[in-house]
Amino acid sequence: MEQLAPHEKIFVDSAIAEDENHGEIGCNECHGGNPNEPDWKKAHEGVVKDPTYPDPSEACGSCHDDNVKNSKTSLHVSLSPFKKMIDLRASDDKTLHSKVDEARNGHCTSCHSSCGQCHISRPESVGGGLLENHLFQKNPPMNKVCTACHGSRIEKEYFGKNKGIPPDIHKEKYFKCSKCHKAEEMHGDGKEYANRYEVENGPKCIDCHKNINDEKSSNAKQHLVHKDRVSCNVCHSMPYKNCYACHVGKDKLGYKFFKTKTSTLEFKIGLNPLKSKKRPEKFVTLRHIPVDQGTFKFYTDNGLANFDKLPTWKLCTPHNIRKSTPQNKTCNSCHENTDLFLLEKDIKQEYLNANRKVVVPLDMVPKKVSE
Amino acid sequence: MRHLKWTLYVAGFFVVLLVFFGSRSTAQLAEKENHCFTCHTNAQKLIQITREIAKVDKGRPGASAETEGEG
Repeated sequence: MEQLAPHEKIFVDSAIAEDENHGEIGCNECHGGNPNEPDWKKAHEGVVKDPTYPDPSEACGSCHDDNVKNSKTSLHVSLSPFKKMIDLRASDDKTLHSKVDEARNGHCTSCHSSCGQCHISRPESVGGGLLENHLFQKNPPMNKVCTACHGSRIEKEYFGKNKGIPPDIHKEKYFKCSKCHKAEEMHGDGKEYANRYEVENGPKCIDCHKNINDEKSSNAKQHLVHKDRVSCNVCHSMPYKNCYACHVGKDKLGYKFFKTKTSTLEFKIGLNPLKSKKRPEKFVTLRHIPVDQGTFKFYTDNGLANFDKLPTWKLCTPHNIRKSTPQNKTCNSCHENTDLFLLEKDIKQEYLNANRKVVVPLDMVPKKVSE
Repeated sequence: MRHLKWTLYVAGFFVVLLVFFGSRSTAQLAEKENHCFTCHTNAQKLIQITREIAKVDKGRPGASAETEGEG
């Protein structure tokens, strides 16, 4: 993503005055400040940079009530899974827990979005700056908004930026993020979800590939045999990014920083940690997330005292889908190919207890079949 | 008839006055109210102000140099 010069970040296109809806609203009606004051410092007293966060009901809601009414439950705004997952891992001791809260609020939760940070500016967490000089964007541009934040994993997978791994087949068909991730999903539906995989109006492969399980469809036999046993990604994803041991803190000047130890390109099939009616598969692709016992060590020792309550290998849907993959070339490219499965030997000693539920026991690895 | 003519002259005079001064005062009002708009649509002004800010912030990095790895 190209960087913006400081003045470019705040330059407004005068054409906004011709916007028949937003052009009639005075700058100060949303942002505050004093438009009659010629001294720019005084004029900016009380200015709100993003009047749509945390509550967009005043700035956007009077006209866009349908989109705004549930925005507090949008995972992009609430980041509620962060809180839920970290709370589960956090110490039961109230003092330690409050230190963890402080760290989470200062680091993890600062990566939120808002109406404005998708439709008007780039997200603050990637430096901000107006999109198209404050002309309102009905469809946020994916490279300046979506992948600006989802850069390390999704962008590299989807665009084929991981060395030796081709881009997602949907990218080659010129699909933008919004082709699958609809506005309704982004704007929230009023329900509090524990994770993004529960979101009811989130994308499902079957929404487009409706006939994939029909007996007359191409490769019907394989789809029928594996349906509800393995997730689509198990057969159709390529190796993807896994990160380890993120530590957060503040430097001498008080600036926040993070350090991740390593990142690897791996493909691992494990046991489904979120088995449900919606996701009944036994085997799914798992991604290692960067949480570590010492993630918040800068703030407190042993803050994540219940670290082992959740796995560090987490259900994932890598965005590098291909019709043909190394593991679906033949039946035995996958069956009994222990390199593909998350076995106990693949897990770092310090994360072993956390991952007991997702590790595939050797006797559970599918046996070879006669082809 | 003569009376009506005079009434029309007077009304016309006021209409002209209203149009002339009315539009002027609207323009003056717009100028008065739109310092944010006039400044934020003027790249030159913004460059000058952001340079002023940068001078004040000189020596302060925008972010921590200790960040390492992928986020």
